Amino acid sequence: MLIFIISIFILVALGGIYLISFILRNKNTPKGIAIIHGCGAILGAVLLIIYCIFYKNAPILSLIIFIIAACAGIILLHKDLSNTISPKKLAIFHGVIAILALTSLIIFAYSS
Amino acid sequence: MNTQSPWKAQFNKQSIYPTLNQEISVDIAIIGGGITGITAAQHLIQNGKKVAIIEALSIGEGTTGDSTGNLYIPVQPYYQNILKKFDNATVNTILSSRQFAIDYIEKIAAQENINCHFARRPWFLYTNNPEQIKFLETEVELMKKNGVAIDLTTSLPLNLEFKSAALLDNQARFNPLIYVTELAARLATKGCLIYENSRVIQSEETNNGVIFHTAQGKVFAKHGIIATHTPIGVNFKQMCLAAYRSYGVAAHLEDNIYPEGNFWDLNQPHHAICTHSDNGKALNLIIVSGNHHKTGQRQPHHAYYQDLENFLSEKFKISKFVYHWSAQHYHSADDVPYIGLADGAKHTYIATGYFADGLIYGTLAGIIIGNAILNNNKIGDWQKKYDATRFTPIASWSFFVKDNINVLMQYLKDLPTFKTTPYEDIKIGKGKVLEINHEKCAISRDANNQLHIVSAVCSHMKGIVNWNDEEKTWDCPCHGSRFTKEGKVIEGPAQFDLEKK
Ligand SMILES: Cc1cc2nc3c(=O)[nH]c(=O)nc-3n(C[C@H](O)[C@H](O)[C@H](O)COP(=O)(O)OP(=O)(O)OC[C@H]3O[C@@H](n4cnc5c(N)ncnc54)[C@H](O)[C@@H]3O)c2cc1C
Repeated sequence: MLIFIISIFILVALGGIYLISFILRNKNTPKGIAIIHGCGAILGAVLLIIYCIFYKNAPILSLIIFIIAACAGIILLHKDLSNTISPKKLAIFHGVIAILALTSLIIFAYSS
Repeated sequence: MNTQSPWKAQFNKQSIYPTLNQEISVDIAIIGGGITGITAAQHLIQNGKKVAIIEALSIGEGTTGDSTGNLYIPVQPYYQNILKKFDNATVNTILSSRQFAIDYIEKIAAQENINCHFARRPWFLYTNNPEQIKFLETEVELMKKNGVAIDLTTSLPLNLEFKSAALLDNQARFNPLIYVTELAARLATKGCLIYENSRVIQSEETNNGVIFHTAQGKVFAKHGIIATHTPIGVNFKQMCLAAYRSYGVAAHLEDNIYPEGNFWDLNQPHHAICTHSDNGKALNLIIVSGNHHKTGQRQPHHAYYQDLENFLSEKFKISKFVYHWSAQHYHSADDVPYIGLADGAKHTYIATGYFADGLIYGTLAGIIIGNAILNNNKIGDWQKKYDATRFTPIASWSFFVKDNINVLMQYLKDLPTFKTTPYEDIKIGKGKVLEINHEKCAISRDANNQLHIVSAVCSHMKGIVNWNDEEKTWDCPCHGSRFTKEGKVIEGPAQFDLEKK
């Protein structure tokens, strides 16, 4: 199951890299991709929560980092849609945290 | 065929008030010079307040000048649906407040000596569908129970086929553009500051009031009223509103017989037929309005005007179609407008969600907000019933879920195409959204064969605009912002133009 969750997060990350390439070039992100990226992340997070509930040895740290990344993602979407700030810094923060979470999840999967 | 409403076509209105290009300070600043803003100003000026109206276009040029000028107490969502969502007290409040507003317009027109062709006339509801008879009768019963003098009738003054019909007397008609323009002129002589061609691009609340910013000026006020039909900028209320485009067609009849009346059918989409005069003399027009659809979500290749023309031609002997035009209205999540302080605000009021019944609701909003500001709650619980911050999850949930999923689906359509399509083949009068250099661009070709390229990303909340083939505009399917082919804001919540490319 963990491998399946990791695969989902890798696909989500690819979407994120595509989106951030727009933000860094000061272009509007395609919102369809942003929504698919968000939905994929929610699916991955929900599965991860289920995993943490059912398995004693669970990647709690990865889950916490993913939740922080998700919060940043929600703020990012809100700021982007409401034109309040240029979301560059927040986008980088969101991406770095998410990659950190994914890395820690991969390490967990292969070390346990 | 004239492509404006009869009022606009006949009035040939020009801007006569200055643009705001300085900092001013008033008691109350009103954004929007439609019937809502002008009524609020009238009420507040009458009570000794210093008021400024800031209008993006010219007075009455918004939906007010594009309405069909009918004044009536029934409502488009129908009272029996409101009863299901609320209670009889709410139905009663809406009925009595709407009656008050009709009388108020008549009183103000007389008091200010405004020749806006106000005339009393009947309103009819009819159906030719046996399955709808029960609905019609329930509506009549409910209104009767609340003291309204409505009853079933066996004849209609227009040659319309029907199986059941109801008559409500003593409703009214007027020329809405003359009413607001002339009322604004009277207000100006009483010290009301009026600015046209002044779009508010930012509104902020401070501890003591509001500041409204335009490109060249600022207004400081103790209270602000956002009378822009839908709140401008990004506002939570937009999740409880849906923008619809509606169409109107006006024609001359061969026999030149135009009975006084406003006739609603119960079909979906709804059609309202009425008679009017475009010159203030004898009635000389038959108008049908309706055929609405969500703004920016037209059925491709569907001829909305043609539909209405066919509808009229099937029923009457038409000698000539003279006007066709379209305009926007906003539905609220629970069928009742939002009027009063905005969510989380202390000094900023909004008024929206009128459906196409807003000449009355707009008048009411002006009075209700005016009273709230004057702290003069003489008119019972109107403020409470129309409260803009009300939380009605049960009454609102189906709209809320359906309409916000619809918005989400619009965003979902914004996917990369991974190809640059040539735009040279865009035909005269057509527009297309194409990807240039990984960005969505709205490209159109005008009648002079000139290409216009602007960003297709709506400046409000980044929906992708769609080409409106009939109006030659870019319309956002998310919250109803509309732009000219050059990208200039026309209406809706957007405050900024589409980016030039
Ligand atoms: C086809 C049609 C027919 C209708 N017929 C009827 C009818 O017969 N009877 C009835 O009761 N109702 C009718 N309605 C509804 C009614 O016309 C509207 O609800 C009503 O006119 C709304 O008035 P308003 O003042 O709130 O908005 P508007 O008249 O739209 O005025 C808002 C004003 O705000 C200005 N504005 C917007 N943004 C800014 C900004 N950022 N800065 C400054 N100014 C800004 C606009 O330019 C506009 O002038 C009809 C609606 C439609 C679509």
